[in-house]
Amino acid sequence: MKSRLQDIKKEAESEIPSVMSEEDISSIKVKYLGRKGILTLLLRELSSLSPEERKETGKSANTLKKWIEDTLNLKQTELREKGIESLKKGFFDITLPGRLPDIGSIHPLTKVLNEVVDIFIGMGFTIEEGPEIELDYYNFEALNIPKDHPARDMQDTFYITDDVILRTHTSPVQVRTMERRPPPLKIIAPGKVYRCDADITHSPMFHQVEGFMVDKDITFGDLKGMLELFVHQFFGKDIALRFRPSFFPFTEPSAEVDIQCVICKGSGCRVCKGTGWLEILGSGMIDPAVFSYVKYDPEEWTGFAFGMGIERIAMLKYGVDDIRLFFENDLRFLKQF
Amino acid sequence: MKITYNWLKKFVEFDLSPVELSKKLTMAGLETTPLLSTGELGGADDDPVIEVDLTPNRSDCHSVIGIARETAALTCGKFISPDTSVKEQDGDINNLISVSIENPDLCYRYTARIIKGVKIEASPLWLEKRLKAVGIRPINNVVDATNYILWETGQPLHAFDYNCIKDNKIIVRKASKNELFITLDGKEHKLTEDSLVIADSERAVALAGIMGGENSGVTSSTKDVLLESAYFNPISIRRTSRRHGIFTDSSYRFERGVDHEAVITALDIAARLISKLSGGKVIKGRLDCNPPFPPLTKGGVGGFSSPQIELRISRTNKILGTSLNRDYISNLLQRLMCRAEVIDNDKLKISVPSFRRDIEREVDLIEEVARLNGYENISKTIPSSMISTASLTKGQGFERNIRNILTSTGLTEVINYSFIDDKYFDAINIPQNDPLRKTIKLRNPLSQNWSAMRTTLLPGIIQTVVFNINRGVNDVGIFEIGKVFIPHEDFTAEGAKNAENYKKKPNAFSATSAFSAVKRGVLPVEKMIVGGAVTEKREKKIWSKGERDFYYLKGIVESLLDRLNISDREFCPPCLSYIHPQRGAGVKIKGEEIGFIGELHSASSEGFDLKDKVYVFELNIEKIISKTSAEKKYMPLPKYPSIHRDIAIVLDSNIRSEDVYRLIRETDHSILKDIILFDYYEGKQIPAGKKSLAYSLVYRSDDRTLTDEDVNPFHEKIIANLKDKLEAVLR
Repeated sequence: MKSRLQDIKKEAESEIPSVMSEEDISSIKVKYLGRKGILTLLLRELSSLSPEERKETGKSANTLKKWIEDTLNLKQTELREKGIESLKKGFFDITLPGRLPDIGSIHPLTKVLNEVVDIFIGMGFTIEEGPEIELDYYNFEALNIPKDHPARDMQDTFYITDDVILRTHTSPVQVRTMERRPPPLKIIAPGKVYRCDADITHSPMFHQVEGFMVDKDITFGDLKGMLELFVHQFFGKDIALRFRPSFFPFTEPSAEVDIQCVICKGSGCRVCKGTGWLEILGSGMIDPAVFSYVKYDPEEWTGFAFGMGIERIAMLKYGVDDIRLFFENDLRFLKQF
Repeated sequence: MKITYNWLKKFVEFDLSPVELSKKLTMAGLETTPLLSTGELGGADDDPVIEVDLTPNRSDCHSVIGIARETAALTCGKFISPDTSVKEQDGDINNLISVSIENPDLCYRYTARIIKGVKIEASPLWLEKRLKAVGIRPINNVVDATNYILWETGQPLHAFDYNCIKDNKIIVRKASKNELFITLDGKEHKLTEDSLVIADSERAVALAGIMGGENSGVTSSTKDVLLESAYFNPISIRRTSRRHGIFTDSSYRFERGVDHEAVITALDIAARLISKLSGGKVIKGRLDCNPPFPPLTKGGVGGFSSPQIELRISRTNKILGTSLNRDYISNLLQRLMCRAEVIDNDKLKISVPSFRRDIEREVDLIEEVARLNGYENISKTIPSSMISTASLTKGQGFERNIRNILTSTGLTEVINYSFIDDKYFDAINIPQNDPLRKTIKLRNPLSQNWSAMRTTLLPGIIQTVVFNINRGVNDVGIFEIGKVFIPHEDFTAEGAKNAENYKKKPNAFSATSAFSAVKRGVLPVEKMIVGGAVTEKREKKIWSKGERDFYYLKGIVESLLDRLNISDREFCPPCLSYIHPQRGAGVKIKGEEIGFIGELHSASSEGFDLKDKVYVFELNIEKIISKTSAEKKYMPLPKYPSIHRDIAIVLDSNIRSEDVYRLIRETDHSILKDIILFDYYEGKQIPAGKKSLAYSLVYRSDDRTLTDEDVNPFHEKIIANLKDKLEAVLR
């Protein structure tokens, strides 16, 4: 048995140092230390020896076992390190372009529209919608713009019949909503509108967001406060704004809202035509005449309304200088957003 | 409206530079663009030009005097009234001319003076310079004087050659039907019975309030001038001016309404200036035909009156959110030349001057208070009254969801115009009797290409594809969400008739009747649609995944419906003339058709000169919303492992994948959890007319770990069924 152990030892000592791979390690482990491994079998036979022999041979066998285990562990560590080292070999080009997943983009006008709508939703405004083909009644009459009134010149209208038109603004939603729902109201109405006008700053179809609020004590001060909140949220806290008297037949008093030019920061440039200010919103206190059309008592209820063109805001936000780009749908343009 | 700085200073004392004045006017609602250099406008070097952009309500400011009044109010400067004195010489006008107004509803006042012995020549330099500065072409001293005074006072004036007026009679009457009339600019107009003319005993000599006639204008040989200053019905002027396409400084002011009290003053100022410039003598007396005033109509466009309005201080502060006191408010309004009388602590009675036709109601005065007080002096507040929750409408929520899903499948959102041209229906190959061709037409389109409201998104989508390809962008994947407009069945007939009725009985056009107008066919049905297209070609790029085909688009639509939680969908053969007869499908949800997908028919591609294959789709969003399951419910994850078995079969090419799937599914559905087609092959390796399909079948039990022994009988049964029923051969 002693000589068998010697043989095993010799074999192991010659074989193990030349181990090259993980597979070799595991096969050697099986060969010597496995359930039917030669060293395992030898150790099992120890019980048949006399106590002295058992002690002596057992000791050498266990020493051998430990040596094999340690050596293999060492080999394994070496191999792992070598493996890790080998990862550095060769050349891998990380500058090849990535495998791009197909991802489309959302139209810049939709993005801006959603952003505006979300700000107002955050302030508790509810969404309403109205038809794009609208009755003259809702688009003009009920908004205090009678036929033959010069105020109709402010909006070049597409006609379908004498009484059916493409809506020229989202304001008819005001009337439609108030007709259906009693006050108080806090409404926002986004959508497409149409005017017969086409050049680099006018599109025959464009987008507006209309908003209005009606309650018992809504004041012009509230209009200023709410719109300032919006402007600061959308354009940034440090943007100055001003309210300037204007005229809309459906609001009285009416105000145009200008923001400090986002391009020149107010010093005057081509975009703001040297004024340092950009007109972005029309607004005002809802005219009592409009309330009388929807049978609200103007003595009891007051409200403000405002409307803004999404294209204009998008042009300012992204520095787009020709409105037609939004509707040409050149993918090289759209994919930038 | 252009004025010059010095001209303005003639009527108001103020101490502001032109730039400061511009700012002041702008912040008071008279938007004033920064000064252009006078050279640019041909103005006098030492007299800067100021351009004021007026809102339609401020007809009173269409004059130098009007802006002077406003400047005086804003700066508290002194307003200097114009000198209206006239040196009358010789004769009596009543012996020289008479006037009659046949239509007092269209002409509320007609006044005139006669200046005899004028010498027509060029105006002095100062006058020519000033006219040029504000954009008026000098003609001769008499005409220039009328234009100058129009600009100064806002009251249109007209000078006739007195000796051209037949029988010394001025008749204000309606034109007769088809009456021919040549205006001063030499253009001939065929008048209608609605047009008001100034006539002598024989013929029209002016289109009232718009333009004079060639037959009676001032020429170099004119000796005596009849100077007219009148007040015409604004609506009538507006209609006539539009009907004949003549827009003049005169018609512009009349249709907005002039100051009836300035009719006489302007006449006198102008008579004096003409006399001074031409050496003519102003004949004694004025002609003045002044029928009773008609009532003021809504919107301030009818007659005129100088209303007295009660203004409540409390109401003013309630609307503005201010705490202004009575005396302060009274003072502000007096600066606007209103008379203010105290009624009590809370009330003022305000008399509005005749030139402020826009002030009719208490709220109009409140706006004036806000304006003069300065909007910037009203402090910002946040209404605390209403706390409310808010969210998107269901439709908008869906639209956003659809946008997000489609962009994640690689499509880019486009927005096309809602108007199209009917000719695209021919290009797309849509049959003549197809309902899509029933479009709503615009009466005044910008161009033929934008003349009808779309009934499908396809024309815009295909054009966008073509546009991009023509610009070298061949790899196109797009979608659009937008409305189509479907005329109500009787939109054209019944709808138009209803519209006619509303016109006849405007009172019947109440809010409620308007509200149900959609039902009666006045308004069309608007449907929200999602449509899109992908081209076959893709940009050549490393790692790119080859060409797109029908199944690429089908996959996108399937992903969309999956993500929207829509089950029970079906793709059935379509029969659309613009879709490939085989490579297209109608999309059905729970048996209802909601749209289509497919390869654009070659005939349709040809219509757009498209050489590449294009795959298109359109789905009705409202129908999708109506079919969607309300809430998503969680499905427990499998507790036990599954066993995958692959089978590859060869079978006849014309057996549909769906039928194979169904056969497998029907054979067993207790432990067969999934059927995944992972390979499809037609070609050399297998006989002609055959195809090879390879499926991975997933078996799993919900209550234990399956063994091969459990699965084998099922799997064999499936194979046997495929062999028996579909004559499939195992590969």
